[in-house]
Amino acid sequence: MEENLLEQRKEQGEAREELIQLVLFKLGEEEFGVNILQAREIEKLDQGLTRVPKAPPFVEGVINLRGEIIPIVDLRKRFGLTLPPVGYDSRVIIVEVRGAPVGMLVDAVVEVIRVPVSAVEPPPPITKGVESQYLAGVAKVDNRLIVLLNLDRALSPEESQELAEAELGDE
Amino acid sequence: MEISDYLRVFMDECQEHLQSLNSALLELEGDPGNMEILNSIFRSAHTVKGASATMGFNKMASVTHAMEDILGLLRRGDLEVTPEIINLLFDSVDLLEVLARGIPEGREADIEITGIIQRLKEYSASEEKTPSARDRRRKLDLRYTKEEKEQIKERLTDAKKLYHIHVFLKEECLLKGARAFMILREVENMGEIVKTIPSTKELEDEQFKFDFIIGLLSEEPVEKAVAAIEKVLDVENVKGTAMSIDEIPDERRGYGDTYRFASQDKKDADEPAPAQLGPASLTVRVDIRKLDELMNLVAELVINRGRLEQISSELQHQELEESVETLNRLLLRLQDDVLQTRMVAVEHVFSRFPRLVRDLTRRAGKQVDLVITGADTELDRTVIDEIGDPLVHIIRNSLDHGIESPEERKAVGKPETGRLEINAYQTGNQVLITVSDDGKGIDRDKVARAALNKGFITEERLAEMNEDEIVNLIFTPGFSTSEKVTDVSGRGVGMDVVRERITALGGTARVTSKRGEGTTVIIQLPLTLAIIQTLMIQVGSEIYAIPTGLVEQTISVNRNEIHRLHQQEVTTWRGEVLPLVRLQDILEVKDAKNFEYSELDVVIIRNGERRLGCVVDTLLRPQDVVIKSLGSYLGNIPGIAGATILGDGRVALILDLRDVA
Amino acid sequence: MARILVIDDSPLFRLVLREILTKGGNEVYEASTVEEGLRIFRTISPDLVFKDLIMEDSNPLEVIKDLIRYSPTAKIVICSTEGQKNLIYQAIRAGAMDFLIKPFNTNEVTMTVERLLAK
Repeated sequence: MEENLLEQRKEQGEAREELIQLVLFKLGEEEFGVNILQAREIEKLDQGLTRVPKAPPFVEGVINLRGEIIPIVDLRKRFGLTLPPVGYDSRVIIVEVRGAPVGMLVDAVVEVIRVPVSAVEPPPPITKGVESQYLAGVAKVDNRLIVLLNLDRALSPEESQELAEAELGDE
Repeated sequence: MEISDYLRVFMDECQEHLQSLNSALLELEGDPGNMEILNSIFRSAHTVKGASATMGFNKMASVTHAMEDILGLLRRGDLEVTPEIINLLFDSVDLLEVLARGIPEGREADIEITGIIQRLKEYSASEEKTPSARDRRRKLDLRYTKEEKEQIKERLTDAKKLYHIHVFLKEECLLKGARAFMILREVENMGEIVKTIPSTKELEDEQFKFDFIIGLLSEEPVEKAVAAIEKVLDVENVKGTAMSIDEIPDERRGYGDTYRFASQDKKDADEPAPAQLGPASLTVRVDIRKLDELMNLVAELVINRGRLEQISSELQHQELEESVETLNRLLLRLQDDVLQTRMVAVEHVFSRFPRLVRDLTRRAGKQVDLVITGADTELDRTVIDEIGDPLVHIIRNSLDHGIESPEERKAVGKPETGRLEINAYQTGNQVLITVSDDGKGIDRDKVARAALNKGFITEERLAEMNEDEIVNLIFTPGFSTSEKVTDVSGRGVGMDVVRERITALGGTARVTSKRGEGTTVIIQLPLTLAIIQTLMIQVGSEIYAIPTGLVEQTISVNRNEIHRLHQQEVTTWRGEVLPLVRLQDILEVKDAKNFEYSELDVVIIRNGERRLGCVVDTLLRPQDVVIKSLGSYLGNIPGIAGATILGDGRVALILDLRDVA
Repeated sequence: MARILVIDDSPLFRLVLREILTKGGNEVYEASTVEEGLRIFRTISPDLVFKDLIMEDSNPLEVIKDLIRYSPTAKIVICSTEGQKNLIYQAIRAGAMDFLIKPFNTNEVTMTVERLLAK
């Protein structure tokens, strides 16, 4: 569908419009997206996690990815979401937060799509239960509402507290 | 220097020369006219002769002396390189290996050598003469020397025929060399390139006009190769002709080159002979144990540095911080340098493969061309030592289960000669080693069935798996599809062990396979390692490593010997009060068992003058592990020095219990 | 329909390739830097990669090796101007399957794609 749409637009002379490519993934039945430029790779979680004592509570543990130790973050716990697990094959999207690899545990990776930059809008205060401080925006594609994460904030172990406090102070 | 030091140096050198003799003989077998190979064989034999005579190993000296005689005749052209002579030289090298193995046990003098000596002498007595005149005519017409013809004839079968493919590139073609290279690569998939005119080297260097001829041994109709070449850009015209070997006029040894055993290292032609090199760089032989020790010390320094950094940042003393920073920089350089001294070319491992492949294929009645590339890629010495066996196993698997017999291959329309490629290269701070064969591939259904039968996976899980994932089940511990263990497949060591060994080195192993087309095993290894000795322990279901540098002793304590002193569990050890801590309390482990035990395993940690007994569930084993950082995302976690990867691929944390002590 | 990744810092050549390749019914992804290219490559596992030989901040041969490291069966076509004989040659040695000399025409691109996808 989108392919055709984009194709038509291009033929209408809109080919110049800047597109971003998004990796879409699911938490529960909700769709989220991250810019493909931030995703390093996508892996199955087919090995045991090693728990790390005294790590932040949303860090599920670490895994070995081709010899590199990668911390795994449970986005549900991070966002305080209560979305039910849906029994998909869990996937880990490896992203980079300030140069350090982090794995985001998600329920499924859906697809990679291209979205015109103009389709991305600033996030409302709370979207699908996730506070706007963790979001980079929302994109409307056809009838879907895709929530784009601001990874630096969404995954940051240290600043979350401060941010949350700052946010409270503003209100 | 004591005598044993001399002996070690001699043995090292001897091993090196025997390795190079083996590989050079193999090359000579593929290219009997190559003078340079012959010279290098002569040099190696000569060196071994001199060294063994010096050390008083007379039998070794006698064998190498007799070899030298024959090699001298071959070099002068008074004797021709024949398969019989090659075999005899191989046998001689085998005997040298037996002699070398006998040396440390003092048995060298007891080993029987008269058989080989006699055979060697027979040849040197009957000096055959071969013409050595050279004729360098140049026109585009692919011819073969007598020897080459013999070799080609040996390989011809009812199905396998000799074709000449004449390729014309377009005049506007901009990169003839690269196109020619692509075309050769294309043609290589169809069969065996026996020769090209101009030589492959000249083709690659663009030393040709617009056309070249490829001599190809193939079981497939030449039209297929022609069609594939026609599809390459910039090709004007391709002509494929079936040739009758006897009708091609002889070429006296001259231009063109044979393409078998294409080791891409290309050391042979491009490198000046050793004698022409500038002043030799000074090298020192160092006992590898010394390097290991150095490495351990550096690793402990690295752990201590973390501690120092922490203290200095707590104290906020500027001069201290600056000097810690300097220490940091120096330590990094030291670590780098120590790691560099441990780097060794994979050639040390690869050099034994040609012989291995030759012997195994002969025994199994198969024909295989081995192509090794990237043998100069370097890896840490520890990895080099550990990687040999897994690779041998993978190669054995390829030869045993992968590459089919010539008859089977013929039946499915493949060239009778199989192809085994071993390739190493560095990318970033990783080294990749791939072993590919063009055999029958891994039977996915068989793997799936076996995995189901053994209860490794469920039907549901299997239904979700893609082809690659199924094939990779062969790495599951306890897996083996081969019902019977043949000699060639190795003494029952399965791919699970291969993966385990490689994961323990911080690497990964995976396999891709296409039914009927072949299998590739891809091994990824870290370039360098930081290794420390640890004691592995278990608390509940979790496994941790404690650096042995911190461990004073491990003891067993009866629960009746444990007392409470101000809320603190203590026991007495060597007449002193030893405070105890249950490791599960520090590490927040929920399923620890040691409360139920009457005899407790205790690891005594020492920090300066203070000691602390850490109660664990089980003491596992001492183990050298590769230290990995937890990464900057998690940052410094108190009590954790880093992580390591266990044989099963899982991560175990390395504890730094000094803060607790 | 094949997934094709174009890695080129020149918007013009990306556009040209995209036009030619989408007309051929392929799904085309684009990257303007090597880093972006590697990320997309690892995420979508394309059937074919067109890689501009010389790009900023990267060793062309290392890039090819990196791609092959992630997918040993990667089919990489090098795009370059005429001046880079040696480098193209080394790229082919390093594992690139084919090369195109800029400027190229539709026919050359189509032929190369067909040849490599048929493998």
